[in-house]
This record gives sequence, C-alpha cells and structure tokens, in this order.
Amino acid sequence: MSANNHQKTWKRAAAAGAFIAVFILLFQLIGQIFIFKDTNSYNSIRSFYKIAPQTVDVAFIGSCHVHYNINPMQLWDQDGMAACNLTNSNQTFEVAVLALKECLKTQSPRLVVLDLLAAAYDDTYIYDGGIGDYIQENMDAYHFSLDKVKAAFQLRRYGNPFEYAFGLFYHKARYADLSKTDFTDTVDASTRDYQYKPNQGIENVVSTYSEQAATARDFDANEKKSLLEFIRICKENGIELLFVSAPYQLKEGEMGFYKTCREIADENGISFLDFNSVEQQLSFTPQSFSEAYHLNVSGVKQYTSYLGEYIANHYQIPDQRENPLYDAWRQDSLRARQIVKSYALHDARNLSDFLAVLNENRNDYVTCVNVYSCGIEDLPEGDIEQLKELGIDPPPYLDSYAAVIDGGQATAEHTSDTPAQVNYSLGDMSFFVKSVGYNCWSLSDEFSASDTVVKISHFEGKDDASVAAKQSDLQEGETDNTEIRIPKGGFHFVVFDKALGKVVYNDVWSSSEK
Amino acid sequence: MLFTTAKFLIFFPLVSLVYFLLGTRYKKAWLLICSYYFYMCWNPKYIVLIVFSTVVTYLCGRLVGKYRENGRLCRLFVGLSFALNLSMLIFFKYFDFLFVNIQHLAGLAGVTLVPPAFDIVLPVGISFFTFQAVGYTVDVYRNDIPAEKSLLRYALFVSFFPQLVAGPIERSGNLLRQIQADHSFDFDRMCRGLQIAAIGFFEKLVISDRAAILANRVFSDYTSYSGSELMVGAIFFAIQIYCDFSGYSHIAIGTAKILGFDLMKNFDHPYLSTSVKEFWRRWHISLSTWFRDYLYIPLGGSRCSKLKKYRNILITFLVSGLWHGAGWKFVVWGGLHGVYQILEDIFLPKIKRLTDKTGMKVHTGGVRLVRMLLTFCAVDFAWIFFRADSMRDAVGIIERIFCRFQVWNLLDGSMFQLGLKSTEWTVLILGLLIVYATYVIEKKQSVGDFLAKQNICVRWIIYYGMIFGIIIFGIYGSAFNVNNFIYFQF
Repeated sequence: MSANNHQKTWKRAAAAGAFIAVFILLFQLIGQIFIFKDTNSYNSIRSFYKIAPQTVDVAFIGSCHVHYNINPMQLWDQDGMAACNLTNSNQTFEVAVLALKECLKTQSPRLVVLDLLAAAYDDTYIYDGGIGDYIQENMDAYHFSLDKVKAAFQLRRYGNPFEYAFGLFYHKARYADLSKTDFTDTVDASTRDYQYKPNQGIENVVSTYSEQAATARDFDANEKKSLLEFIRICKENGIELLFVSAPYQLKEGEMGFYKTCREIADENGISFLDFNSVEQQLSFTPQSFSEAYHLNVSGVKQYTSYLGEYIANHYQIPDQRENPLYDAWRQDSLRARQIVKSYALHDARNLSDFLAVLNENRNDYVTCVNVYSCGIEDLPEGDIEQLKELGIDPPPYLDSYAAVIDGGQATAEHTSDTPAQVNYSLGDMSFFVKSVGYNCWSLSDEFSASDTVVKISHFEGKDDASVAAKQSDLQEGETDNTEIRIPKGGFHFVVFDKALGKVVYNDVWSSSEK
Repeated sequence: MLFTTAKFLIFFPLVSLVYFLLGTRYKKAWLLICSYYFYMCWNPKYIVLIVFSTVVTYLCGRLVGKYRENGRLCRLFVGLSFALNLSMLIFFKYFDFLFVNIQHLAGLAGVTLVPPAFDIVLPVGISFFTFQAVGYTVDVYRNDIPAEKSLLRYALFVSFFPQLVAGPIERSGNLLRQIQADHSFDFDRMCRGLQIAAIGFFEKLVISDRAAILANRVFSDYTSYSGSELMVGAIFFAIQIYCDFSGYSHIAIGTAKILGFDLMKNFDHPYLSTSVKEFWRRWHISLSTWFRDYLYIPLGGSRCSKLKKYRNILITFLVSGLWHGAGWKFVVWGGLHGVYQILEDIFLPKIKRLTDKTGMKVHTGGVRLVRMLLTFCAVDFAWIFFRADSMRDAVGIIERIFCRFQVWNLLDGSMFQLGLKSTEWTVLILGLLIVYATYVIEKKQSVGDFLAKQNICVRWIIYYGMIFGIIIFGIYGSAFNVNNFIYFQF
C-alpha cells in the first residue's frame, strides 16, 4: 500500500473512531435526559454515586425493605457510622450484585448488609408481574458499565436486555413529555435520606413465629445463583457480610425461603438477623408499621437503632464523627434530622395533631396559609385556640384569608369580598400568599378560586433592590420557582423548612376533617 | 430475523467482518451459509424449499445451456422449471384459497368437501425467490446470460440474504454477474451503504410503523369511524405500505452495497407520479419489470391490437394482484390497476389532443400537482381493497367514505383520537418531508454524492440527526410490537 493510501486509511480510521466516540457520548447524554428520574431507585443509587470516594464504611443493599426501613443518618448520629443505602424497589439479587459491584468501584466498605427479601419472590411474583415492572426503573438508576450490560442480559427473562442496559431505548417515547427537570441533575449525596412512609397503620402483624416449624424452601434458581455470587464477591474483597430480613407481614410459606437463607448463611459463616423469626423478636407491633410491608417513622427508628447497636458490637466500624474528611456527612446528618422531624407533620391524623407539631417547631418553619370556602364555623374550640397560638386569626366562613407565619409572628390579611394577599421576605427568600374566598369569587367574574396561590422564590446572590423588584413582580402575578395552587376547599398549609430551604408540607385540612 | 431487530444489527456486522477477512475462495461460501442461516431463523424446515428451487432451476439452466440448439427441449426445461417452482408456490400460498373456493362451488352443487387436517404455513419470501429463480431460467433460454456452472454461486444468487425475503427481485444479469466477481472492502462504499440503510430504517421505523398505528386502528374496526376518518386511514395506509416496502428495499440495497453488491432500485417516489402507468414505473420496480418481461411481453405486450393489449394488461395485473395475496381482494386490487391503465390509454391521448387544440398549458406545476393528486386518489382507492380484511369490509369502507363523510372531523381534533396524538402527527409529517427532501436531492445526484460534497461537520450533524431520529422516534421496543414488513406475507 502506498504511503498516501496508508495515510488515508489512518485518517479514515481516526474519523470513524471519533464518530463512534462522539456518538457514544451523545447517546449517554441524551439517554440521561430521557430516563425517568422520579423514582426511589434513581434517588438512592444516584445519590450514592455523589458520595465522596472511600468514605462509606457500611453499605445497606436491598429493596424497599432497606430504603423505607433503615435510616443511615441515624446510624451516623448514633455511632458515627458512615453508612449508606444502595437500594432499588423490588431489587432482585442480580441487581444487588450490580449494586455491590458499583459500590466497590468508588468505596471500600468494611461491612455490607444485604436484605434478603429477594429470596421470598415466588414464581408468580417473578414471572407474572411485580418484579418485571421494576427492573427497568432499577437498571436506569445505574451508570452505564460492562457490569450493567452483564446484569441486563442476566435479567432478560423479564424483558428486553438492550432496554435495561440502555435506558434510552425504553424511554424514547417520552420526547413529547420532557420537562425542565429532565434536563437538570437534582440528586446530590445529601438526597440519600431514607424514604418516608406515612403512618397509615395496620391492624395486626400476622405472627410468623408460629411458622418456626416451616421447612426450608428453595427459592428461584437464578436468585440463588446471584446470591452466591454476591457472597463470593464480598469474600474476594475481604468485606464482611451481614444478612437481614426486615420485619413485615409474611405471606404463608415465605418463612421457608428464609430458612434456606439461614442454611446458606451458616454454610458461609455469615450472620443472619431474621426479624421475622422468634429468635429476633423485637417489640414490633402494629404501631411500628406504616402498612403491611414497611415500617413507619417510629418503627424505622427502632429498627435502625437495633441494627446500629448490633453492628457496633460485632464489627469493627470506626466512629467518623471527628474525622475532618466527613464534614459533608455532618452537614447531611443535620439535614436528615430536620427532614425526619418534618415527617411528624405528615403523620398527623387530624388538624389538632398537625397544629400541635407545627406549634412545637414554629421556629423552624415559615408557614403559609390560605383559604377558600372554609372558616372557623365547624372547628372545635381546641383547634381554634391552636390556630391562634400559631398566629392565625381564622376567618369566618367564605371570607378570604392569607397569612405567612414565621416563629409565631404572623403577617396576614383578611378580607370579605376581595382577594387577600400577603408578601413576606426572609433573607433572600420571598413568600407570596393570595386567597380568593367564596364571597369574592362568587360575586365577581374578575376573580377565580383558582387564583388562590402560594408562591415561594429564592433569589440567591441577588441584592436587596432586585429582590424587592422581584417581590413587586410577584405581586403582579409573575410565575416563580415554586407555585402551589390550593387543591381543594379548606385550610391550605404550605410549610417551608428554613434549615432545609424547601417546602416540607403542602396539604389542605378541610374543616370537616377535624 | 427482521432487519429492524437487535439480532440483525449484531448478525450483519459479524457477517461483513468475517466476509472481508476471508480469502476470495471462501467469501461466497460464507455468504451462502449466512444466507441460509438468515432464512432458517424464520423456519428451519423451509430451507428445503429454497434448496429445491435452487437445484431445479440450476439444473434447468445447465440443461438449457447444453441443449441450446434444440429449441423444443429448451422450452421443455424452462417449462419444467416454471412448473415445479410455481407448483411449490401455489401449494404453499394458494392451496387454502383454492380449496375454500372449490369447496364453495362444490357446496353450490350439493357436494361437501372436508378440509384437510394439516395447516399450511406460508414460507417467508417464497414469492420472491421462486420468481427470481425462474426468471434466471428464462434469461438463460433467451441467451441474456450464460448458464451458471457453479452451484455455489448460483445458490448464493437465489438466496442472497439482503433481498431474500422481500426483494428486490434481482435479475441474473445484474446480481449473478456481481456474484461472479470478487469484492474487497471499500470505505466509501461502506459509507454509501450505511447512508442508504439508514434511510431505510428511518422510513420503516419512524414513518411506516407510526402510520400503521392509525391505519390498523381504523381498518380493524371501520364501522366505528366516519368517512373522513376512514379516508385518513386509507391515506395513512398508503404511507405505511410505501415507507415499509421502500424502507425494506433501502435496507436491502444498503446492506448489499456494504458487501460490494449493487441491487436494483425498487422505488422511485411513486406517489409523485402523474399517472397510474408512471406509478408502476416507480413502484416495486423489480416486480413490475419482472411481470413486464416474463408475462406481459410473452403474451404479446403492446405489439398487437388494442384489444389484445388491454387483455394483456388486465391479465398481467390480475396475476400481479394474485401474487400479492391469496384472496379475491388482491385480485380486485390488481384488476383496478389494470383498468386504470386501460382507461388512461384510452382517454389520455384524447385529453392531450383537446389540450393541444385549445392551447391549454398542461406542463405547469399546478396541472402536475392536480395529476399527482388524482393519481394518488386512484391508487389509494385501490389500496383500500388491499388493506381491508375482506372484500365485504373494503366495500363497507368505501361506502362510508363516500356516504358518511364528515368534513368537520378533519378540523375538530378527531384526527388526534385515532391512535396518534398531535406530536406524533408532527413527527410523521416531518419524516415525510425528509423523504421528500431525498427525492429533491436525487433529482440531480445521489444522496451519497450530495453528502460527500458537504463539510464534515454538516455531514456528521446529518448523520447524528438521522441516527438519533431513528432511535428516539422509531416505533420499536417493549412499548410496541415489532411490525413485520408488510411484504413478508408475500
């Protein structure tokens, strides 16, 4: 081949290589835009990727039985344990292996705690729905890698492996539904709080203690193979492994799967804390549960506390609270505590309880209140008193009422047949509340009940003049960072947490919900 | 395996890579093995049919070559080739159709015929490879091409996988000669092939399969839709079948080009035709020229009386209709096209004389547009028979289009309730504009030449736009079933 031809060939090869490289880059970028991000799996795994390398000492891997039940930040507060959750909804052991491999790329945990719910997935759940519905969401959470491709093909019995490996092929039809949030990365390391479950309550926890005689029952062969691989990887990397089975309402026969897990654990010298067995009985009562499968706030506290104590007593996990490398963890811990505190607002069963929590923490929040078609006529005296204690002078029925309460001090307006609106600023935050009561919108075509709104703006880095100008703009109805329309008639509360810098509660209490 | 599946996207690069790495003497054998594997992915047992057709027509070709001086014997061999191949085709494709009709006739005579206990599954592509094979024996008989001595090369001609299951129906003079030659890797040719294949994937996945959503919905339950909705459904079917078939052909031509083979052009923007006659010069060119050369011309073609010419046209199109499917609706479809051409032959000269006499300008853009629209309407009317589930349904659809046409349905948003939202319509229209753009380019030069003249950044933007357009807007994946190419049923 002549020198010219040689050169031409190399140029072409280089051009082809560059073309392919740019294609791969564009494919990853566009894929990242298209995948659906509002999932527990995405938040859990993507926030894990943002954790500083070589800082995690304990990794909790598993399904919703981890991200709804274990609060890693509580372990930090309790024992200075640098723990994190790597979880996916309905995680199978194949995905657990992927999670472990991803974890080991940037972290060197001393201990991995694996929840064994995947062992209890029976054939019906695996092959007739349930698991298959979540695989795509789970796989989308992980960065692209050869491990992800391998896992995708291992999971091909559930669906299309190319879609699992390359989320763009699955989510491409979203092109008409893309919004601003698809183009932004809203996950950071601090997002790795545990996922809250509201306190819906259950009537009883079906006792599995009566199943102590259950014989071991083999679980899905593919799951078993992956579980053994999980164990092998931990051993090869010198990582200690702990199995857990979180407390939940077992179905008949499920205990048999955990018996098999016990056998595997014994064969491999792995401790297994089965919180559904009589040996591991704790005081989990119906009051600990959100619903049949997950714990509520107090249940999480109890479960996490027990795990933390067990790990501290049985494994060499250092206390990192004084370690200067863990500044970010300290910040995250403060934030997590604040978030957990706000869950009490969601757990309130009635307006009284809600107001009690709000009053107790009034200095932490800026509370925006507006109403339409609601007033004090149907409220009990106690609630009216609590409202007044909060700083709200509740209006008569059908009037307009808007208020912003900060630390018990209220800025409010109460009108009858015109809209009420209030403007309030706190540092570089701006709050605008407008209420269009029944008397107002029913008498005039000029106003509409849907104009009842709360707008919250954050003008980071702006000077006083531009903030003031922006407030003025707000009064004229310009759209904003956060705009919340009242969803139904009643007392609408929007609670803004000052420390977290975000809205932690947004709901309506109608006067009939006493 | 379908072209638009991951399996093919892995299969083809592997085949190509090994093909170009192999020495000359093994290339053809490798392509033949891959072609047989490609066909066996549909149904392994039916490989016997291709082998049968190959051996029969190969032997007939050799015998014709050997006994060329004996015209009668040669005609016997050609006849034998036709008989055996068409018997196979008739058995697999028309047995059920023939039986049902005979059963019906017997029933009228009071005789009950019991249907056979076995089911006949139509082998994919049988209509294509049998025509390609028997065409070869005629070409040898006519001395257009010498008889192929190498069974390997001939077998590859019959079973060459890019065009095996849905054409183009290649002529031995074109493809067999290329198989005889050697092909080494050529970067420019690979780029051109990829460009053509990309156009094919775009047509199939973005346009055809999208149009199919609306067309299928409307045709499957026509009594629930107004005349205007059915009309739109018919238009969408016209788009679907064109882009489906053209897309497949482009993929076939593109992949063959990468391997070093130039297949014939099969479509030339037929909906821009100004007459039905022109339509058939632009639509499924390989099939229409096959019928012209192996049926119409042997019948006498147009070198006979007008009446005989019209008879020949009608026979050719009736047979063409029957080739497309074993059903009376296909025969009606073909017959309609025959009637159209006869009417054009009768009336167009009269119209021309009239316009010449009156000095009316006929070569204006406006007149051309009107002629295109009229031609499209005629063609689309015939497509209704092609697409409907039965003759009765076709008549019912036509009745609703003409008698229950609600013009306001076209404007009140009803069109977006037929399975495609407004964004999907937008994507479809943009896709058609891109296809039209290729037509505009191809008036002066090939798309490949046009792209070669562009700056590398512009080229790459076009390439990435096309690739991501297919990935994002293509109808495939777990949310959709992979739509078979329409012409696979033939």
